[in-house]
Amino acid sequence: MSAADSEAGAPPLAEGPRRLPPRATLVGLAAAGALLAVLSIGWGAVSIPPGDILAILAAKLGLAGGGETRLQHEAIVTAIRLPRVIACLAIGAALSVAGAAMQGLFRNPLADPGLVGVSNGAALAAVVAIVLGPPAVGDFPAEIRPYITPLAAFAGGVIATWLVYRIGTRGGQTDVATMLLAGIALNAIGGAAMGGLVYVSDDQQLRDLTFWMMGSLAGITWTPLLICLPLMALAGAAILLYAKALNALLLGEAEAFHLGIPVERAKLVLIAAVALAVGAAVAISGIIGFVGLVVPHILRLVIGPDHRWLIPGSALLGAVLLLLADNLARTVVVPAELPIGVITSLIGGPFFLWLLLRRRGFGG
Amino acid sequence: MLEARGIGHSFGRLPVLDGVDLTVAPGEVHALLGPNGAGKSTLLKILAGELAPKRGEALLRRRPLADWPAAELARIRAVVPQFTSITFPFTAAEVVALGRAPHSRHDSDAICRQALTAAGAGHLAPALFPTLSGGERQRVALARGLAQIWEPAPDGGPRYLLLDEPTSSLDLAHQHAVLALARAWAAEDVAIAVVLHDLNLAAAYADRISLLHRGRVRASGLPETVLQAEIVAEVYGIPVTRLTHPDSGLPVVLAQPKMDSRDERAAPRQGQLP
Repeated sequence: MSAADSEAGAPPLAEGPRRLPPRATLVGLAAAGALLAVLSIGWGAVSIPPGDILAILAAKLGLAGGGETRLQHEAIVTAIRLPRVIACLAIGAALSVAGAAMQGLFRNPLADPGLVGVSNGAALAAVVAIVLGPPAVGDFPAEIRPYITPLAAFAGGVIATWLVYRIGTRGGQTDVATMLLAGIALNAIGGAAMGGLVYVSDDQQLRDLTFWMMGSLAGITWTPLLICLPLMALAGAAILLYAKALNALLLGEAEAFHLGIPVERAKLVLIAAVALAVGAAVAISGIIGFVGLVVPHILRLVIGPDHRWLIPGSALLGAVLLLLADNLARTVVVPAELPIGVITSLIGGPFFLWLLLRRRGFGG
Repeated sequence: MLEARGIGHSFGRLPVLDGVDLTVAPGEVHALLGPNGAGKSTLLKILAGELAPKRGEALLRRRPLADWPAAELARIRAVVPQFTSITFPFTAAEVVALGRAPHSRHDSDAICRQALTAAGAGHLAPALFPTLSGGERQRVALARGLAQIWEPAPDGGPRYLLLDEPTSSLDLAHQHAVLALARAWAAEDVAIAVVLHDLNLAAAYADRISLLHRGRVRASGLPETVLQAEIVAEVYGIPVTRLTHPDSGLPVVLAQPKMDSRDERAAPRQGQLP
């Protein structure tokens, strides 16, 4: 059948994209993440040398006696800096993986949990639970109180994801414009509802509200982190399990079925996993925008769009980038600190505009 | 054997298919012809198991398609849609590799390379799929379908290839190359159903033609029996002449040009500049 080709003489081999080998890239990212994590624990008002940090961590893990380090440093590391660094890594990873999964599911690189209103839905549900929960059903018992926010955020995330999916998808085809417009509408509704809640909330709640809307990692503690970490891990594992299905879904739902993918189940699992990852992340930090948009996009340029590499790679790159952003947030306006959501939006907003302009250049 | 038995389907109140019986047999290229809206694509979707018919049933190896697990079906049946669109920067080789998804062996690089070459797109392997032309995409999509059923079925049974207008974006040489390839695959005991618009391509390459008209099979059988001037004229609503190809002896169907409109074009209307 290459008859047609041979008559014209063998056509020259087409030029391919320049990419880095995925495996090596992931190893490099993991190494960078580990190094940055140790350095981040050291940076701050009290500077702690990396050697001390490693000694404290080793002692905590029972690997070595840490008698040499000063108690004050140990408290700073384990109570303040370590949970913050872990939260950063986990949230960066969760938002990026959710972004990559959502883009695959919508077959569109512009889908982002923040842009299409999923983060906002999660935040709104969490805020509603905090502000309106106690007057409605009385104070939650102390044992379940820490779980209310993540659960509400998850529920809000599910509802928002499902809504956007239903509105933006018809006959297996997602219409980008509709999807983004639905996101604008959901974000407006969420923003207005949160604005309204400002009037009925007390001082403490007001502070919480600001935190949800801006996205911040200041004052993170272990309890919410330990509740949300397994949820994010579960969501990430589910998405990784469906990496092959995501690849096939990029061809379209009918084509994925032709390739033997159980399409309905895959969609259900992916939507739930996205909502869980975003809900858990929002429960810890409020809305941190654009991470899920920017990270998979950069990675696709570097290692290509195969989800079997893109998903774990997004987790690593997202973790590294959010940790970098958090270090910026902590140090730019010392002794105060910027909400990290401000940093990611400052970087992500222009990036999104650049994406739009570039796509327009390509004619859509 | 891929069979449609008394298939009826409608979208809302609009009837699309009505009492369609059809058999796609291994070793055969079975062409589905018919005017726009005759129900060809819907029938192909039903034969692919992608759409459940409202009446009748579709069977593969005497087992209703609805009872086949998607993964099992995907190992012996490939479907190539008319258009493939991907907004992500996959290379052509990666798109073809997606066709290997139903199989547990993932070191199928060699198969993908061969499939691309067979589809006349070997040189496109490293190119980004979204940057390819319509015709190039169509050949890469065909290669993906071929790669999916490249090897004999696990149980040694026949394989099935469903093609929806696989030549719609191709130039003359590639149209013939693709259908010659379909013939070659049929010779390997693959059953091929192909939706076509070009009657003469179908006449040249199909073992069997089913001509659909308003959701029914108007005629089915060998090309020379189906492609008779009266039948074609009735179905398409345009006068045609049937000739015999001087070399191959195959039927050739020519539509009569609408002479009025042609005259109009040739002679400028009064008051207009020539």
